[in-house]
Amino acid sequence: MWNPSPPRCDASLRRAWRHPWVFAAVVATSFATQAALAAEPILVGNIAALSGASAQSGEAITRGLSLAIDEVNAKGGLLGGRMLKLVQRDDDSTPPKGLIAARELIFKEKVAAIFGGIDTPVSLAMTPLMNKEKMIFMGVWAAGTGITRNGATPNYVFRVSAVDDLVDIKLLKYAHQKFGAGKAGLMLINNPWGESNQMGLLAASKADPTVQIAGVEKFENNDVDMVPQLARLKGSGADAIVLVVNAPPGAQMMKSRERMGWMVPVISHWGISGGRFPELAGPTAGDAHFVQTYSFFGKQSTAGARVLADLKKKYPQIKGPEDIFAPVGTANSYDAMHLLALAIEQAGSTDPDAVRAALENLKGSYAGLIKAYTQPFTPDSHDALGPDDYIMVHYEGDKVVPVQ
Amino acid sequence: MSWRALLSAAVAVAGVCLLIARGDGYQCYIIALVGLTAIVGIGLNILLGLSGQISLGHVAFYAIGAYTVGVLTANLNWSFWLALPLAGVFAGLAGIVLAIPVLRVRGPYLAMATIAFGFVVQQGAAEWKGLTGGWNGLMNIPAPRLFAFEFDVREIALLVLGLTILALVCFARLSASPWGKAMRAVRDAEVASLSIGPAPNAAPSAKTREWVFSQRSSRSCMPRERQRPRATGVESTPTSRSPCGCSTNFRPTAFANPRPRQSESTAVHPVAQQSAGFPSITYRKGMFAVKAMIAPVDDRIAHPRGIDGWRAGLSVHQCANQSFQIASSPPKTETRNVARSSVSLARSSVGVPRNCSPHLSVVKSSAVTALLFQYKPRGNH
Amino acid sequence: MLVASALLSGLGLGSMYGLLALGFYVTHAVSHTVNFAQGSTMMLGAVVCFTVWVTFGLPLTLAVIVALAACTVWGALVERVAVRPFVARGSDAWLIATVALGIVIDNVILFTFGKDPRGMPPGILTTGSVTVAGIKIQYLQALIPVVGLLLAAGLHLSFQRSRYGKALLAVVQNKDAARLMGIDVERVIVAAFAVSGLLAGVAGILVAPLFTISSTMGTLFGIKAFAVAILGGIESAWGVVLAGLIYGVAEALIIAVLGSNYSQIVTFALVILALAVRPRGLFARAEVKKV
Repeated sequence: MWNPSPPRCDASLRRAWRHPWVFAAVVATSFATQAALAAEPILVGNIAALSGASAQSGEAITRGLSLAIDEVNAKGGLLGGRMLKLVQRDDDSTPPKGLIAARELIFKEKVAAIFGGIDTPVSLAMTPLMNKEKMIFMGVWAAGTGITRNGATPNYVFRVSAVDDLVDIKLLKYAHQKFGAGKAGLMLINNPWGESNQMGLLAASKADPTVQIAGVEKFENNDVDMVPQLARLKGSGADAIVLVVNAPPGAQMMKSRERMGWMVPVISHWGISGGRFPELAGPTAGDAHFVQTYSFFGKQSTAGARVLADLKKKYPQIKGPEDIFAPVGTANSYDAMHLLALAIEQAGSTDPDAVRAALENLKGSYAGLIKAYTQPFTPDSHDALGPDDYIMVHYEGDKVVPVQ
Repeated sequence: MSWRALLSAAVAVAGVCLLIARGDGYQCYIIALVGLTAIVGIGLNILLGLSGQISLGHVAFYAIGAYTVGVLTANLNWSFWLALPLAGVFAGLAGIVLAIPVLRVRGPYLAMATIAFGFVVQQGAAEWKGLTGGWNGLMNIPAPRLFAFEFDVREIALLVLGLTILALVCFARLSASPWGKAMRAVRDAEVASLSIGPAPNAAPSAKTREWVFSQRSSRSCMPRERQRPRATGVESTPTSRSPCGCSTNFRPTAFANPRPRQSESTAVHPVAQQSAGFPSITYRKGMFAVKAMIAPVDDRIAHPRGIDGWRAGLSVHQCANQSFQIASSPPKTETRNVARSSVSLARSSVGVPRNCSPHLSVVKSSAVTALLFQYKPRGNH
Repeated sequence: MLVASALLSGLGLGSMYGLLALGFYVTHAVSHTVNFAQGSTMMLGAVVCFTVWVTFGLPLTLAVIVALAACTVWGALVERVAVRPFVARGSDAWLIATVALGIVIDNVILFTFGKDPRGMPPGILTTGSVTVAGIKIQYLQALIPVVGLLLAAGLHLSFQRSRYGKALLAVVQNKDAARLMGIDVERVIVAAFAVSGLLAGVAGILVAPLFTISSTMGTLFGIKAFAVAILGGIESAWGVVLAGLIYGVAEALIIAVLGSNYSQIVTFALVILALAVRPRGLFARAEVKKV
């Protein structure tokens, strides 16, 4: 290497290798770790980004799931008294870790279903594995269209969350209705989620030419300065920015826009709600209007009031709706867990095919947090939410407030 | 390998096979990951351990191999068994491509160059959407099939185990072969080995001063007062008997005493008609390639004279023009013995073809000295 | 206009790369080792400054002092734990040891500071700006290259003038002779690592308002700073600073023209090319090598 030293005698290492006991010891200890037998509770897995930029979203999902599980267990559990138990794994927003976590939950923990998926790339990577190993995968955040529309039959992937294609239509429509914009400049994160939305936005613009696409600019997660991209969009005549990104780079974009002094409206996907966006973006954070599936502000339904009260009780740091970060995660996962519980009861077992059939033909109506669900999934559509369920919000200070 | 070592190895392999057979999907997956990391580590060891070249971007070759298999099997529907060796070949080619610009770079500079290469490969793969699927990556890569039997995690883990054993064996052969010795020479003292130009191939290539090298290294291992001309100089070359405990790796401590005294040189200097030089520059090119391919060519079995020697042998009639010159000052009667032992040593270490019987001629030792100073290090190494 | 603003931000970032690379230079000069935990040290500076200022609510000056002290101590700790044991044995494992220590501190900060990226509160430096020739320049953006160059010059002066600086130069030139002259070489090496930690801390604090503060902010920065150190020739202090500025400007220009997806590919390919043409760095001098 840099200071080459004379080769050392490695006789000692060679001696160690000659002992068969070393290998015997290694082999023996690995046999000692056997997987435990499946215990009584029904295990439900959660693979989400529990650390990193989307950590808040992961925490929000955990809270929603825990609340729903507590409610189900309080009513006596499922399938004749079996309690639900949550098993968490961190996917670190990287597909390889997500895959390892998925394999561990499927084979080692033997869960009945897996929730999760904040990042579209991770969910896209996990989807083939779920279908191959016949594991119910309930997405509660990642909006990439290809996650549920993955072309597999049978399809074990369901989602209670927004769908990029439909969100993109909504974003363009809102840009026109609220701000009268005619040419949208796209600022997208350079990853599969950005790519999925690029396709969706271009398709939406083609289908409804009221809003044209002025230009498409991409940027990286750790970019500091996005003035070049914004300047190019400004040069092509954009009068609104459509933003698809997570909170930290989104904040950098808002700061760059402020530095440029180009105060066009910003209509965003919900990525910016997953972190401390107001703190990171500074005073112009409120300029970004983004999509949500639920807001704890304003008048709540009975379910909403109940959930809010339970949240305050279980997590004392929540004093009011402004303390609930990433409410989308909580709301989506709460409803998703209840829907799964109903399906398991209807199927009468945790067999994946039975549960899948039950989900696709859910009987009765479930008064959920986001809406009242009747037949949320069909064999053709595994997405429970549609464009009518989206609302537009923006930040006022630290609060996420529906736009008037 | 001793029988005890073989027994341990067999026990280990049997243990892992049992683990794979009894484990569930997750355990087999982890075992496969461990095996794959080991294979990459063995490749890196060729670069880092044998050749002393620091490489911090080694994972780029991992990626290149993976993408090759992915693209060939998923997009072009090739058979996995064709794509697998091709992946090694492409990674090897990438190694050569990297080695060309970084040939003269050493130490921390080489570390940075390899880091940069790793980044370039990663970002390039992510941006080349047409080929690699961009950040999404390649999906639905078909599993390997063997006569209509599709591999599952278990079988893949077994395949990885087999490949790991193959990699270990290849590394051991490479390490013991002339290539390996040349690599160690470059690692230990690059300038010295450059000036001498040890060739991992055999006699037909000129400028091989390996015998001088071995003689001198053994000589300089000895205490000064014993550095006298010895008729039986060759016997001392199996340096395991040398008092300083030098291994049979050629230690270029030779250059501690660069100017040979005339009386000291008992040297065997194989001269050939063809001037196929083999400076260490080629080693470094080869190193990157070889380490990525995990030494696919075993010198001893396939090409006793190494790849370059094989190439040389194509153009030069194998034995016709080989001659050995021996310079010595001791009495002539002993010279033949010296010469014969030197040639046998040349055969065993460097790989002179066994069917060659080179003829010997004795020259004055001064001629050898002159020859030494004729061969200067080539180029801008 | 695009080029001008790219130049400005490039100069700023480049001088920060240069500061970190100066740290690499200092440690390499005295001990022929490279502290690969430099990026993590920079992150430590930013994190400690944020914690003391925002979480604990203490004044900013105190936060800066505490952060710089923490980085200096951490630099000395890295030397003690990850470098000295291996150098003493003549092994090269300090390379991986410093990398490992960098990963360790990253994860320690991850568990204590938290997983969310945080942002520095806006202050006069980030909100105030001057407009020069139609370009809006924030105070911070103008301050960063100035501080960087001042620090580099200050380091140079202290090496030339002060006793300790001269001792360090002596160790750089000939370690054994320095030892014979009564200079405590071990202490000088510790001091060099501490200085490199300090430089990284300054860079971290200056850059924190531009970025978001998280436990992973330092990794890529450290690798780029190492590229700068290599480009400048790790044997030349001014070469390193100059290379930092060149690298920063080049990166900013590439982003402005090609877009940020290709920036890393092009910059790192250029690094390999530069090394192919000048294997010892752009500003290296010819060196005599004893065989």
